[in-house]
Amino acid sequence: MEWLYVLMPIAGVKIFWPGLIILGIGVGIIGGFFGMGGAWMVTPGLNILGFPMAFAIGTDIAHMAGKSLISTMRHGKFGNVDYKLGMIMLVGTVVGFEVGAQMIMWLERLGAVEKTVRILYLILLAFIAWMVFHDVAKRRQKQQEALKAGREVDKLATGIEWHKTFHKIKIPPMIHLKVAGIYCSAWLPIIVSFLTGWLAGILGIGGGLIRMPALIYIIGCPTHVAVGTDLFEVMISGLYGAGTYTYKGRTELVAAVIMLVGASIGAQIGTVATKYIKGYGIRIAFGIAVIGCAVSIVLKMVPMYYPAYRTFFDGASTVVVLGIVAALSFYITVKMVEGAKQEVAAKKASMAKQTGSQV
Amino acid sequence: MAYKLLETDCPGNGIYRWVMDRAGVGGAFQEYGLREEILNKGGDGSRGRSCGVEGLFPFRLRTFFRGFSGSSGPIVRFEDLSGALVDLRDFKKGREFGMTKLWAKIAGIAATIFLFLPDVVLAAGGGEVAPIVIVADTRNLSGIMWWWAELYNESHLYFALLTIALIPIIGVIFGVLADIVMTHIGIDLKSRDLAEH
Repeated sequence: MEWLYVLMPIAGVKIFWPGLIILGIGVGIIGGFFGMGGAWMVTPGLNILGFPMAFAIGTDIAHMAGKSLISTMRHGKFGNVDYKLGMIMLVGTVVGFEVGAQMIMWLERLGAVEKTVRILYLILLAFIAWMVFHDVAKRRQKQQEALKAGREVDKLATGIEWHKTFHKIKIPPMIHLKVAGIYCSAWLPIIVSFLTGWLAGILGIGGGLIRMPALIYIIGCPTHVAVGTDLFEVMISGLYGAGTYTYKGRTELVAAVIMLVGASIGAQIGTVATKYIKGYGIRIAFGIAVIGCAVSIVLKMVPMYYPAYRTFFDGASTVVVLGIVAALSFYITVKMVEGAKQEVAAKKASMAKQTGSQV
Repeated sequence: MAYKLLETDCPGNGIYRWVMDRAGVGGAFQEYGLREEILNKGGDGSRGRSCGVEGLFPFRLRTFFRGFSGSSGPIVRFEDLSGALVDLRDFKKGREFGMTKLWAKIAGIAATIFLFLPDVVLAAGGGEVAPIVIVADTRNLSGIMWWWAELYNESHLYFALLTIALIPIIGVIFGVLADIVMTHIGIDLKSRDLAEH
């Protein structure tokens, strides 16, 4: 079975390449569907495959850039990418990230901050999960009220409507984001991206997990546009991150390319699935992914108090993350296949009808 | 009195957004010695109306006016009390210039950040990289793998540049290949009908 292993030229270790492809498919599906890089999912997977951790972040970012490019291309064709918003947010994110990263270095000099950072991350994830499910519950309530009144709820109606309050802030300059259908102060995306970038810098994460809900609930993007625009941002920042990590010699391109083979398939599945799943379906699945991420962090934190059980809890955390990836990937793939089948069948039926009427 | 048109929203409907570049605090529109006149040139006989003062900010008074226009073009005009007429059309050029300048500033800031902070700005993925030197072992490698590892050992710069060039190329190739497969299945990959927020 030697052929199933490939020697990594830089890291000098042999890696089970089908594992890299499977990981790429899973992360590609979830990334293309939710609009995030998914570093929190890749690292445990690489760890299990025996990948040297010195190369994990760089390799992950390199594959993330390629994967986001594929997803952005597809989302762009669906009209899901607001490039103007993406460019504005990119600037805010980069500046915010740098401020956050500098701040965390300053805090580290003052004392250990790891535990505080993880607790902050947990609070944030809990808030995001609450926000998503509160929104879903509120919309369902609206739907039920509308049904009782004998009418249908507006397709564009949302549960939480915080973005409407933010849109009332009219500090110049005002911008019109055509794809997202938003007219707001330019300061809104700038400040939001700065804050999400700042949080990502403090927490040491990519930020897609925070940016996606911020785009929906604060800026007011439709879910599909939030996914596409976030991926556009991940693509550019990922390419830049890949450059800096590679310059430091921490990227194993061979592994990234193998993962990209899987991710290109996964990204297509995830992106095309957004065609068949409604905005609120995406939000619910996203909420579940956030809960999975939070549980894995809790499991990682337990050994801080009970060091004797470190091996068990580290393993459990990896199982939770990979279990969530597998379950969500399966759900998204099934939905995509079902939707594609219906579309193909509808096309065939209409073609048959046309042929019949011509005869 | 200096005016600047910030943005014309839906010009066909005659909805205009203004910024008046005059510092001041408090008070309604009239307190600044202005009165508005809305001319109705619309063919439908509709009267324009003013939406009044929208909000006050520390350094600018922002006023929002709404009018209805017909086919004859903009119908809203402003006068100060001395009788000098201000026509919206005079400010369109200024608006475009203002927005271009804003975009130029944003692009300038982005370029500066990317140029001057290459080592510290890591917008995707965080974490410090420990300052250790890793050397690739080329003894067991051959062909392209050997060349790749040699490039890594010789110059991280060329290695990084090639990586950055290769990732998008490989991404596009795989993306196009996956596109071909998906199109072959019969899925429409160019539009999305589903509309929900």
